[in-house]
Amino acid sequence: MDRETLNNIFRLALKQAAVASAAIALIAALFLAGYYLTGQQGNIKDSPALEALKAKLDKYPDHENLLREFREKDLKERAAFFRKSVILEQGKNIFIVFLLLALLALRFERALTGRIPEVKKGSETVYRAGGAGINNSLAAAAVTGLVLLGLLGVFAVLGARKMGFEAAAAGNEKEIDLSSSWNSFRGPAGSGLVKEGNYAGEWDLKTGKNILWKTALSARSYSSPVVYKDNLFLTGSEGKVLKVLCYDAVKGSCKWASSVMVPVKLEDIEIMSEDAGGAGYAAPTPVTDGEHVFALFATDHLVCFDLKGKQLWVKYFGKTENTYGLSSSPVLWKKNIIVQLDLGGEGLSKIAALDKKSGKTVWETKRPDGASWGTPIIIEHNGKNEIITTGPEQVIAYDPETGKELWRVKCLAGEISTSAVYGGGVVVVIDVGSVSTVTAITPGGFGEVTKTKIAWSMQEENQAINTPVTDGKILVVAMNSLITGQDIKTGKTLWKLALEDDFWASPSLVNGTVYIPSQQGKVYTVSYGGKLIKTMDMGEKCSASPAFAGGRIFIRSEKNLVCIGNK
Amino acid sequence: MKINYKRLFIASIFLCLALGAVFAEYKFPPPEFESNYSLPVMQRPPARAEILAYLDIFILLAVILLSAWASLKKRSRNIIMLLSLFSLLYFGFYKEGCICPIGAVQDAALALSSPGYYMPFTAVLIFIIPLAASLFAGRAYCGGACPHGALQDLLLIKELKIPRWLDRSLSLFAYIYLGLAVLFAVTGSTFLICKYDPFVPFFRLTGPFSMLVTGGIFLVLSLFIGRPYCRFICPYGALLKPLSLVSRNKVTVTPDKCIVCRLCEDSCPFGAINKPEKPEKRNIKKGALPAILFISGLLAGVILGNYTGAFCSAYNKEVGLAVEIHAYYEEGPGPGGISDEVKVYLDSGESPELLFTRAEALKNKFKKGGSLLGLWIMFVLGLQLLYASRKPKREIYEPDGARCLSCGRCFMDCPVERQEQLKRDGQRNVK
Amino acid sequence: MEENKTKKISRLEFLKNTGRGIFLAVLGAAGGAALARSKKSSAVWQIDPAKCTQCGRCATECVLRISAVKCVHNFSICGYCNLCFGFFQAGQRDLNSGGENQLCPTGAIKRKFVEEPYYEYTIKEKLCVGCGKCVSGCTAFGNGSLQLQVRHDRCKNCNECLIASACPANAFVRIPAASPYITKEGNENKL
Repeated sequence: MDRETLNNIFRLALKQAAVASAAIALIAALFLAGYYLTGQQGNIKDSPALEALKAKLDKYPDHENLLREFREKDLKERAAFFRKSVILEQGKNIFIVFLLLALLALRFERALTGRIPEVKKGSETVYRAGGAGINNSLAAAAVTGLVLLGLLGVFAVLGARKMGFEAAAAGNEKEIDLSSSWNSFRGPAGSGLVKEGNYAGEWDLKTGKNILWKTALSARSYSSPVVYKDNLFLTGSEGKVLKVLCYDAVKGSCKWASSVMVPVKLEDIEIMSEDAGGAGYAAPTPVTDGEHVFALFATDHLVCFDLKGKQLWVKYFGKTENTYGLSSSPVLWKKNIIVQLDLGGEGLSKIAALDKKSGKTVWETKRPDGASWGTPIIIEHNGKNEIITTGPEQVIAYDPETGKELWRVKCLAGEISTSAVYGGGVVVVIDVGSVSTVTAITPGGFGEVTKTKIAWSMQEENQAINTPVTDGKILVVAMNSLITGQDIKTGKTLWKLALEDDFWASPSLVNGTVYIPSQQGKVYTVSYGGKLIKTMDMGEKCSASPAFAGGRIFIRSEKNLVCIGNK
Repeated sequence: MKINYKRLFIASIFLCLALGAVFAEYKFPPPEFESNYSLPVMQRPPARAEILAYLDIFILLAVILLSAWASLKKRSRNIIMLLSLFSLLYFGFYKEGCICPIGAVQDAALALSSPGYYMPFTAVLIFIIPLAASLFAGRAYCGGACPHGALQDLLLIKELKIPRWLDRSLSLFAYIYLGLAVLFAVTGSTFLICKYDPFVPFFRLTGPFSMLVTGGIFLVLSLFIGRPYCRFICPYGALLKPLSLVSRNKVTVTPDKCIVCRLCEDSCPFGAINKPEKPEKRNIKKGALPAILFISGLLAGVILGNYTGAFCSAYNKEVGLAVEIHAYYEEGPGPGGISDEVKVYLDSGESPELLFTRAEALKNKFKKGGSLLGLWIMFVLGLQLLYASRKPKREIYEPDGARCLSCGRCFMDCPVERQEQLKRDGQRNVK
Repeated sequence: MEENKTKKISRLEFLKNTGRGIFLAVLGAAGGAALARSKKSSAVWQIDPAKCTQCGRCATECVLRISAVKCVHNFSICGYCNLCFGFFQAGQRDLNSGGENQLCPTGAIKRKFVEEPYYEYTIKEKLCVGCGKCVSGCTAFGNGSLQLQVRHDRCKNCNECLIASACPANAFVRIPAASPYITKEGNENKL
């Protein structure tokens, strides 16, 4: 046999193989399509017949025949599922393999044609027609460019739309100036000091003199109001429902009153109520950063709301064991919220910093056992920031960035409900007992510095449960039935003013005048030199410290919220 | 060997303690059986052996070298065809596609931009070897070693000639696709090239329906158009083109002297053989207009690309989740309930602001990348225009440095080559 | 004329050589950087059981018609419960292997009595479709000894795993091929 005959035989064979393979592939494709569309569809879990049978079976649980029928059907369906699956898989393989075979056979058949290429007639002009071809290509490229630009433009228009979340991203926050607001317990620095602004020196609830508005409160608590711009925030509880409320600081209307959603059953948590002599559910004062408001509750929940009243996150610190109920307020430090949880149980006390966006713990440091009720303050002394806490027996300072303990001074006795104040280069603390010891400490140092860092101390036979106030020169201490003025540098008593009243709220020093609400429902104003200026009657107990912001004084009494300002 | 029994004893105690601590966590403590029941072992079928990955690289290297030899030295279409058949069977149907140099483009881009990405050593080699080879031997990879190319090449039965201008315009898409794939890869969004690969489902004989459909379309196209994926889509080809343009050795049609018979041009199904050209007298218009147009085109690309990037970011998983979560917080769950993604995210307890911040950062990355993509597209377009307006002087037919796929078809059709072959056959017969 | 031509060619050659040099340098730099960051071992896809939420997409998203993901049983932490939450569906009639009691849609779990009151549960992998129903039950109420895992005798090891890109919990990770499974009490192969 010569080469050509052999070639022809091969070609014929390949041609027939191609036709045969193509036929098989076609049959397989038709069969697959038909098989796919008939019989059981989709996954085995959605067999309606079986579902119906199961429902029937649930209705007549004792029906033996039904049960047998179900089992048979179930088995059949499963077998059918796998059979179909295998057939589809194999059928597909057959289809693809034979399709490829057909194409390959055709391909090789053509390769064996052995044609000798010839120059086609009429195509002798071998040179490219210079200009025309180039112009064609140029025009095509230009058109392509325009098409591409157009496409880019369409996608750009589509892409220019906002997706919604951009404004809510954390990177977009701006520095919010809180200096003119009263954003936390006793003001931005926790000092109770007001250095500017025009505040009313007298008012009268009966005649309405200098009363801007008054509104009744349904939620109870000892916590104080905080103010940011037009928003005034309060915490409270109605029974066991924990509430965060927002009022319009100008009009006095309630903007929102949100109930806190907590991940535990509040019914199971017992807190000593205000009537039983405790601090109640909501004694800690909230704090706001101008975008969120953070509130701590005696149930050990720290909750974050946005300014529209939507709860963003809640952090549960675990079981609470505090004699009267937690009252330490959360404080703001840069991007963190710092809470001091001094609880009675063993190993439960701690101070922690949480990320204000997420509520995740940034750092956490154990504190000595035993309950206390004071709020930490954050001071800057010699360019260094320190958290100053009061608690059982001692004052402890921490680094606000890391939570590491810096120093401690053992100078406190009794159940500590007072917070520290800072002024004139010293931290001043008072302990709680029938005799009050006022101690001034120079901050700084490491470890226990009781022996070296106490600047001065003095005692008075009277009880103080609130926090004093200082402007860096004078220290005003409001004890029960006695208010004193001390030189902050030396501790020397400058003046004493006897008043037959009890003070739970802390005094504020407003442009040189002391404002102090009392348990008998009065607000006293005392001059810088220690003279009583005015006594205003509020009609009911005032346990919360007032807030001073934008020329308005906000006083929370037992059941009312009053706004006072020069009319 | 001396065994420290004391240490062994202490270690075993610790192990017991550790195990005890582990068991203590379970709701139903694993039982201690009284009958002599032996705990069955969990079956762990091993992954593909490591040595095979190195074997693949060796084979890839060998096939590329052989293909280069066959296209440059031996000048044999048959050897190249056999090589590509082997590649189709080995890299295609046996190895079933992954990882191939085309997809490795994305792995490389991601590994270079984010150091934490897991890119195996072998994958880097698979990415680099064909590129390096193209600097010295042209697109020998495309000719003999690429299973994608082999499949299309073997299927080509009745070719339709595509006009030159259309061919050049369509081939721009490969560059755009490359840019898009890199953008999506470096943002950690998705591997576009792998997701829309038309041939892998055929190598595996399985795949999602959509993939099989696109694959089918490309298979049918390859019957009439020479290697449509390679010429118009393949992003790896887009990388190989400029490299092979400056290749040290190039495929030539004739072994000796071109007789300008035009047969080779007819034989090339990929439009990769350039005609002889007599340039007209150059009448280049002097003026700043082309430069201004080019620069403003680049600028337009940057600006439009920026927003196009923002549009693309919607296809990122994280950005998509941020949109969903934002909608959930603003409007509550939609009529279809909440998606699995939203549910999982809500369960994680993370503050949504953190997610939004991450999504914002990703979107910005997309915008930046989009600008670069726009710049890239306009740049490539500019080069294309420049290339199209070039008026070279050429007296013979020769393969285009960038577009030639080293398939060797033109050798067979060249009369000079045939004559040489006959001569060689004759010599052999005499011997 | 002749001289002119050689000049032109040599200029072209020079350009080409420069281009080749630049490309080589770029390629070398990129390749070197990628090599420096690359890992020695090959990578495979696997599910981190700690992140898996049993959404059921493993069964539907895989390139294979029957997924490469299957349920596997980690016997070492199994409680051998009589009432197995991975085997029985809620509101089962009886604690036996009747089809009406089984949770598995394909009946891929075999229940065998060991000793009072313990039962052994074995996955018949041929029947398992990777829907994760049993895993969900076992994880929520039991020890979590049933887990979804990519089976490497089936997995095609796609460069981009389609299940991974669909996973709502980002539970798919790339791990070294030498220890290709992640079990709940840690990767035992590491020990």
